[in-house]
Amino acid sequence: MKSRIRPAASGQKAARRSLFGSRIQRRRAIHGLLFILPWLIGVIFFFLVPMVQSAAYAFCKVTLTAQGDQFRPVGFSNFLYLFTQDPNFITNLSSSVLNVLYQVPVIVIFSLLSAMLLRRPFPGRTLVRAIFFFPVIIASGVVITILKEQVMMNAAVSGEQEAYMFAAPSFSYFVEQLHFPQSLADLVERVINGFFDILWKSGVQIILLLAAVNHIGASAYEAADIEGASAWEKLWKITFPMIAPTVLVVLIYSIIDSFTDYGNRIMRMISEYFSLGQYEYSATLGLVYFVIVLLLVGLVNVLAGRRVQYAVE
Amino acid sequence: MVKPPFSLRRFSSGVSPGRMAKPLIRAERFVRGLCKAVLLTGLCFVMLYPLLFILCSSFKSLEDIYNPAVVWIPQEFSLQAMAVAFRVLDYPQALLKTLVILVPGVLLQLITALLAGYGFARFRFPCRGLLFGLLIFTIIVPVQTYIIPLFVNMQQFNFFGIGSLIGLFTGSPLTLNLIDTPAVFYLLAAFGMGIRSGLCIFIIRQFFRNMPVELEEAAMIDGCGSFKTFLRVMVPNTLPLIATVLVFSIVWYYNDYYLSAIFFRTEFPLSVSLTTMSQLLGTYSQGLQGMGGMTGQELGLMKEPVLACGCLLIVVPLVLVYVFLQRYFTEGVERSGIVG
Repeated sequence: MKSRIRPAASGQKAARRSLFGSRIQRRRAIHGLLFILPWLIGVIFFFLVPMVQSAAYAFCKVTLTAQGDQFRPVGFSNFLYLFTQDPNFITNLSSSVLNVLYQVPVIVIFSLLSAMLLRRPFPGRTLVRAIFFFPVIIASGVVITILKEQVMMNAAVSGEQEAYMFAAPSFSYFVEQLHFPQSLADLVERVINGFFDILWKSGVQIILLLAAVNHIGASAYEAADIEGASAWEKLWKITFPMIAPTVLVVLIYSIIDSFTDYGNRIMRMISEYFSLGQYEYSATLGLVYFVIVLLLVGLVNVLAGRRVQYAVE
Repeated sequence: MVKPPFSLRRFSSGVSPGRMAKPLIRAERFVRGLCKAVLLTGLCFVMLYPLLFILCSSFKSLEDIYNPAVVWIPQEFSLQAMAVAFRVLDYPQALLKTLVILVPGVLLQLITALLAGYGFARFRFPCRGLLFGLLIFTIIVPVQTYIIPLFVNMQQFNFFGIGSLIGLFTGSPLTLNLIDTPAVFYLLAAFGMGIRSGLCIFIIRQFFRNMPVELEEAAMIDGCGSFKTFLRVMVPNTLPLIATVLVFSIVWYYNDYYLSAIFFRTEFPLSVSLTTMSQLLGTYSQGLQGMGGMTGQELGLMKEPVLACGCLLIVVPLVLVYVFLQRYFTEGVERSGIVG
């Protein structure tokens, strides 16, 4: 690695200095770039290039022939079809957005609660912790979906929208008896039935929050104890502000996770169109879906990020 | 250590433990412990429920399915369903396929992620912020959105443009069809675009950022270069982190079905076989000769236990890995401080 700066015209030198700084800094910069080089190559060739190509596909009609792929530009017709004619897109999209809206808060609250429970030592903590992390190894795979939809068969009745591991139909009946509107009863049923599935999805989140909670220094709590703060006050005034950055990470992770889940119906649509050979439509769907997800994540990041204060930069 | 950024005096309630009578405190502690125990037991049951369910239904025999008295524990354990599942999944071959993808993939991904994570954590270089944004972008964007061009690129892999460059001189570009070979996974992993590589890099970066700089400074002063510092000083100090990332990667690679379903055409790894299992069973149960000593009709009735067996067969290797690495894993995660 050549690290010496050749004597150069002053303007050039100034430009170089502003870019890299001193000689050591320059060498560090080059080393840093070398460290990320493999990733950088991968990101360009296996991420950026395909992304751009995928965006281009969405505006074409793709036909695969023996001579190679043929692209005929068709403008926005794929998008038009998606939004105005596709019978499933809007319903599937709204259902997955709705799912995320009620699932994510429950996931975050539950994983916070679990992190609090698992935080202090108690007899059998190692075992309990291992059990709590256990869903991590299964929930990310197809096993859980197969289990829910094909083995447990709670949703075997045709027309049923979602598959649940536990079902509690009596609860929504109860809500109906109280003369609440039907839509509320449906929502309650959805939340109650999906609750255990949601618990199953929070393995990674529990790990992240547990790590964050364990990283809060004991001195803040000691000071609070001396001042006579109650446990409730300590939770809201110390624990919560200190783990707020992680809560944000958990929030965003949960949103992305449920949007890209195997069971998510838009994801299934994308793969189905792909396996049917309708590549351009699959690409359009993927592009639109991804932009929507990105917008939602950005919105959450802006809304929640404003409330998060970083203790250490 | 971080200062509490607010005053606590205003919020103090003024009830000090000393004022309460001792038996009262003891009773309170007991009730609290009891509540916690009940809550934890319940939650543990929920977490283990699917596993228990699989275990129970896997060993049911045909008679047990007809028997309405059998809900959970089968009356006579039978391996009928297991035998069928074993054959439908083509288990040894599929497991081998999974391992062929998983072992090199995970290792390559780990190496690249360690390098990139360290690079992002400790070096300042131009466009670092931009590149880091790109990293976050790769975490957020699901592979589904760009899978088609990726597939085409892998079908006509041109060695990062070098093949096309050669083509300019020789007339025909040098390309290689990588579909149906595990090389696709190795390539993606080695260049940091494997299954959730971005998340691994992110976790590693957070860990390195929290490590004290003094170690590296000492190494630098002693004349140790950047790469040697990384290899000799940093990596040996990050074993819990490596265990964590390793477990995550193993799980993600093992459970991946999407990329495998797309990049393979003939032989499939376990997770993909599981998704097609139900369909396959349907076909077999309509066939006349049946399978594993059962007629087609019996096979149709045994669908649930067979599928449960399939799930069990897939979960078992992961559970074994988890049991072995669990201690390092949980401790590593908790200590690594994967905090925003």
